[in-house]
Amino acid sequence: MARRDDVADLEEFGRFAEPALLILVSLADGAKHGYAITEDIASYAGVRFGPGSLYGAIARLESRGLIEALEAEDRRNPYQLTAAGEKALRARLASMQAVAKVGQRRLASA
Amino acid sequence: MTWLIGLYPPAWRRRYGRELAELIATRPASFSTAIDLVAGAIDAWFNPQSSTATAADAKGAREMIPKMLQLKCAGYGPDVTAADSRKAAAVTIGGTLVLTLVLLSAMVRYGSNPYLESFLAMSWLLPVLFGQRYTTLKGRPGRVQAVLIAGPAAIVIAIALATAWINALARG
Repeated sequence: MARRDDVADLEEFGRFAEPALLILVSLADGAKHGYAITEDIASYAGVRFGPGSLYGAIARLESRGLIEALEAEDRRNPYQLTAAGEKALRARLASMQAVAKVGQRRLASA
Repeated sequence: MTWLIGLYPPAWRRRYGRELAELIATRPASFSTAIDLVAGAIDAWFNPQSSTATAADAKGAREMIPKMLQLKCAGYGPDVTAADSRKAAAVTIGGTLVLTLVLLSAMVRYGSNPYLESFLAMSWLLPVLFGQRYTTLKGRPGRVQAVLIAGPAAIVIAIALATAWINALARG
């Protein structure tokens, strides 16, 4: 499957690729701080990342401009998706959707 | 468990330390969280991100890794004296003896079990790691020493626990 070069590729995050994707999905409906991100991911994906893994992924996403920190509220820094982050998330989800469709079609015809 | 944040690079702590401390405070202390934080700290030292680096920090980080890896063939840093070698030997031998005696005493008192046996087999490894303070890691910043000793020590402990767990399963 062709990859668009202007879209950030989460695969380069290595072991942080999965937490990074789930963080982007979590932020897709609005800004959240670290604890809220953890709880949201636990509720929709059933995965609870350790604090080191979560902030390892947040640091990478922020460094690549896919998320940005907002002003601290109540000593917590909320994060929100940037335009580049939204684009990367859309590309990633489309790619996953294409793979899922192929998989389901093949299973149905097996 | 927030003390483990001290293992992270200073720039990283300035940027995310407070948030990370708040997140740690929301969950119960556990071995898996400790391992996750140590692994995160090692990653933060070896993969500095631009979100945590000022220009000076970035320069420091670029220089840090070559400095950390600047180990000589004999395994010793540049200024290891005979006294340092004696201290390292004392820590290694003394630490191994103390750990062995403590574990043997526990076995006599509570009976043998896979966990005590596993730690007994690896009791020499932890003192060897701590002894590196005086040789391989001599002269390196305290936090670098902490990461390079605590990281492998955590791995050794994890291996000992995993081995014991497998043994316990095998014994039924």
